[in-house]
Amino acid sequence: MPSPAVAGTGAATTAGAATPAPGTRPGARRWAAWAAYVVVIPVLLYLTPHVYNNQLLLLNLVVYLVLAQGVNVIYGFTGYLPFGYVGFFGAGAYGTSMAVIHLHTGGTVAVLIGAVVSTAMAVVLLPLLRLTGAYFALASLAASQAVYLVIANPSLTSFTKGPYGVDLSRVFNPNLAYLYAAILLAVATAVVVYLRNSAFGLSLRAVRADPLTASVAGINVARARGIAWLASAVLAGLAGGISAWVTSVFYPETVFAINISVFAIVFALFGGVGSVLGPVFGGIILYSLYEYIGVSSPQYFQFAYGLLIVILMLFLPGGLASVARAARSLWERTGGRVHRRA
Amino acid sequence: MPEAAPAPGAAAPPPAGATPVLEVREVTKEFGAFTALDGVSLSLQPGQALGLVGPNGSGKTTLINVMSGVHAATRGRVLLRGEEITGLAPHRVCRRGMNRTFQIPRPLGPLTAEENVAVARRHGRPSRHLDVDPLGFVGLEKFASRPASGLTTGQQKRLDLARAIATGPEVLLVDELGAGLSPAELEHVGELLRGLSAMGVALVVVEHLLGFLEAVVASVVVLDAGRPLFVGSLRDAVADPRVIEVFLGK
Ligand SMILES: Nc1ncnc2c1ncn2[C@@H]1O[C@H](COP(=O)(O)OP(=O)(O)OP(=O)(O)O)[C@@H](O)[C@H]1O
Ligand SMILES: [Mg+2]
Repeated sequence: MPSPAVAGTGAATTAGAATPAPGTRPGARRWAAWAAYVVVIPVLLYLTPHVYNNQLLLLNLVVYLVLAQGVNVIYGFTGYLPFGYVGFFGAGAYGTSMAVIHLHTGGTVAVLIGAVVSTAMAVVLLPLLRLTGAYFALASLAASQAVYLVIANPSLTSFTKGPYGVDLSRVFNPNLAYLYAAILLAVATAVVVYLRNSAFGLSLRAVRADPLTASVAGINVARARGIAWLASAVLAGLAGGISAWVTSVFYPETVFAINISVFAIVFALFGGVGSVLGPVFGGIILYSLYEYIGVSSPQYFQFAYGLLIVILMLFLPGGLASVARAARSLWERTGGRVHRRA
Repeated sequence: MPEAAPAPGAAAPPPAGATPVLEVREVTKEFGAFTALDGVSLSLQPGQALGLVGPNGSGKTTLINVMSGVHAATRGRVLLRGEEITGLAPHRVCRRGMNRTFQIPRPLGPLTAEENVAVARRHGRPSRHLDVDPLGFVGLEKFASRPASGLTTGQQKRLDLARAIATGPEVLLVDELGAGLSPAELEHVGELLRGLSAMGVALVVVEHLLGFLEAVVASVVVLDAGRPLFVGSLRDAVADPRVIEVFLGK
């Protein structure tokens, strides 16, 4: 007889293979490696402007890497694909802007207020987690566009500046913003390291594997998912705030562009959700491609990256990280022997 | 302490004054127009093992789903140690001390057997842990670091049991653990359930294999089309003409 059917995340199975079982008791060397991942890449990126003098482009890259890690947190560990992820980014950007314009704060405080706003939005949207698969993806997209339409509404011009955009040049400080962006990337990566190695991360993987079994095993499924959802929203809100601070003059459509979701998702998927560094490398590769080939015809890239999401979900749900893992285990099984014989 | 009247559904006469660890009172479960459970009551003493039998579709799994919080009852109540747990979510029922296995096993597939158990231990009932290593108890210690999805169905059923044990239950609901097992595996599972009983865990055992049931429980509740048909000792049940008719299809 049928065992009870239960709502599971449709997307969950798609990239279920993405997360290999993390070692239960990692050795000191693995901890050292994780610490290095968390620190080294952000530090290198922070120093890059001394070599490659385009801080604005680099800041955009770092912001996208944070967003890709945010997608990693929510999609890689819960299976919810957030097409409306840009909503948190935009809410963070506008929260930051409103703080600068109406509360006359400095940039740092404004960015933190932006994160509070995006977190509040995530709390309001918690019921979306009751939806599954494509329904969740679409509903989150609709929610982000609803927030956009409210902010861009001309009748709110006195508060949000409506469709006419905001000007934050009073607090412009790109060097400090770039430092924050690099720190935020370290934080985002640390969050993923935590999820890969903690008991809480294991609970999330259990929920993703089978929400009903996880619930019967004592896990508060809604709470576990909610925490991941809020964490990803905080990351996006901070990224949005920092981005707004540096962009200085922008419009609602700039920070609520669906493209931002698409890029964050494709970077995460391409690199490999569930892995610590996949989304970072995926983002660096695809963002560079976009900047060097795509600038002349961005519309093709937007299309190509949308298509790439579909292809990756169908054929390579583990992304580059899964290819790297397969290559490494192949090397360990055969390569070592070949090497000794040679 | 007031003299507790024996609960109407009590399978064995309870010791005077004992509070049942589990009580199901007049539970009805409707799926749309279909009534899967119709006024089912039962009562379980601490450490007691009760069989739950009935033909296919008679509502055994549905009753386990209602008791464990997977389905909400349409009417009726469920009490654990005298406390109302009707309508609680599965994780709350788990933390109060009642757990279950699944008729079709539901492993946490990508997690290893060990991780399956670790999750349940961490989230289960904080105050009470059975004094056993769950994986070792069910004989899966050799498979500790295997992904659960790679285990056989029989092993996955035992993993369900190991997870349930890891939550520290006082009441364990076991849904057809014996189905599809070899005679040797069946013997093993019977021993496991007797062992749990000996540890003081109260059991509700759903099983079609009466021979297996005989070795584990003394009393049974027989369901027929969602209604309680017989409550009493297993020996009397197999001699009862109504029960025979339901099982042999007249
Ligand atoms: N989620 C559900 N939705 C609708 N009907 C259901 C649902 N779950 C069970 N049923 C129906 O309720 C009736 C009882 O099912 P249940 O699984 O409880 O029977 P069972 O006694 O466990 O049978 P079996 O011995 O075959 O396992 C069946 O007719 C079944 O089709
Ligand atoms: Mg059943």
